[in-house]
Amino acid sequence: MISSRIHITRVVFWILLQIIILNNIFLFEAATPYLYILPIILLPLTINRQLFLFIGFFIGLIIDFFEGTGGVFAASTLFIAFLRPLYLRISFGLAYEQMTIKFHQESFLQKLAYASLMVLTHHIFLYTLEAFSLNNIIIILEKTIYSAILNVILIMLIFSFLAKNKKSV
Amino acid sequence: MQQIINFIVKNKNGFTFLLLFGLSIFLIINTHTYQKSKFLNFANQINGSFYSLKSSVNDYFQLKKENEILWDENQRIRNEIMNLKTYDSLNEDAQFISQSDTLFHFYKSKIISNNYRKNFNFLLLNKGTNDSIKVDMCVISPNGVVGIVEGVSQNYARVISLLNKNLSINAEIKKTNHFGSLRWEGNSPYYSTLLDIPRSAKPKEGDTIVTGGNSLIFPKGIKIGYIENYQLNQNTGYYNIKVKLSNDFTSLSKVYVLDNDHLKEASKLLNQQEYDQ
Repeated sequence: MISSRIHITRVVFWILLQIIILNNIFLFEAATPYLYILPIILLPLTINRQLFLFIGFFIGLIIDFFEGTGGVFAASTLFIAFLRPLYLRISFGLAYEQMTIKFHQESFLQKLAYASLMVLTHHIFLYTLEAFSLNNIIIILEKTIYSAILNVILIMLIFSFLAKNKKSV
Repeated sequence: MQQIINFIVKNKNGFTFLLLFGLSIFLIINTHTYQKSKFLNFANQINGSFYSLKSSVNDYFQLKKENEILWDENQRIRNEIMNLKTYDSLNEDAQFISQSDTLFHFYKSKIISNNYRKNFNFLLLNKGTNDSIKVDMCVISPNGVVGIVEGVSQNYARVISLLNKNLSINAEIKKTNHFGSLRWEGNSPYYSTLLDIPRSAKPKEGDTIVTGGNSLIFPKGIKIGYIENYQLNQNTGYYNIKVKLSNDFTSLSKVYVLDNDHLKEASKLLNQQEYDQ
C-alpha cells in the first residue's frame, strides 16, 4: 500500500514537471526532454500487465490533454508500456526471466540499452503520429534522433543519481 | 463460443492494447478534422484555468522584455498619430480615413498557453465569448501577425498559430505588391515560407512581407516578417521565399484580437456568389 502511494506520487510529480517546465524547453530548435516516461520505465516488474497498459495510456492522455494533441502521447506511452517486457528481456536477459533485477546493481550498458530502446520507440511514435503524414520524413527523423539523444542522456543521469541514493541509504 | 472466450482471455493483454491504441488513434484523427471544437473546447475550459495560474507566475519573469516591446509600439503609434494629424490639417478628405478606421475593433488579450514545437501548433488566449471574441477573428501582436481564432469557449479562445501546417494565409511583398501564400514547413519556429511569388517580382533579401488584401480575416498591410533568402523554381517559374518572422513565437505573451465589422457581410456575399454559380 505504502509503495503504491510512492509510485502514484512519482507519476504525479513527473507529469507536473513535464507540463509546467519541460514542455517549454526546445533545445537547438529540435530537442525537448520528455521525462514523464520515467515512471513507465521504472514501475515495478511485478505489476499486473493490464493495469500497466492502462497506467501508460492515461499518463499519455493527461499530457495530451494539456498539449492539445488528441491522443499522440497516449498512443506512444501505451506502445512502450506494451513493449516493456520484451525490452526488459532483450536488455537484462536471464535476470528478467528470474525476476531478480536490482535496477541500481545492473551494469551501465544494460541500463543504457533498456533506456535507449524505450526512448527511441516512444519518440519515433510520438513524432510520426504528431506529424500525421510522412511527407517531411527527414525533419521527423531529425527531431526524433536529437530528442532521443537528449532524453537518453538525461535519463542515464537520473539513473546514476538514483543509484547513489540507494547506496548511501 | 467457449473457444472464443478462451481465446480472448488468453490474449487479454493484446486485446487491451489494441482497444486502447484504437482509442488513441481515434482521438488523433478527431483533432485533425475541422469540426472538432466540442471536445477541445471542453478541454480548454479545464486546462485554461490551470494555464492562467501558470502564466500569472511566468509574467513576472518577462516584465522587462514586455516593457521594451510596448515602448517600441508606443513610439511607432505616436509617429503615426503625428503623421495623421498633419495629414488631417492638410487634407479636406481626412474625415474619410477616420471613418474607415472604425471597421476594426481591437480587444487586448494574453496568451496563457503557447506551443511552437509541434507541427500543428495552437495558442490559448484568456478571452472568450464573454469578452465578445468570435471564431475567425485575426490575432496580431505589436510585432506582427500571430494567427486566427479557431474555437471559443466562455472564457478562453483557441488560436491557430502561424506555426501550423494547416494554416495558409495571403501575404505580399510590401514593395512590389506581388502576393502569394504563406505556409509553415514545420521545422523552425523562426522561419516560414512564402510560395507562389511570380518571376516578375524580383525579391530582395530584407524586403518586408505583409498580409495581402485578398483575405477577409486580415486587414491589408500587417507585418509578417522579412525575406531571409529566396529560390526560383525553374519548373514552375515561381519563387520559394524563406521568411524570417518578425514575431518571436517562442516568447509571445500580449496580443490583440481584431474584429472586422464587415466580415460577416462580406463572407455572406462571397458565399452567395458561389451559390449562384
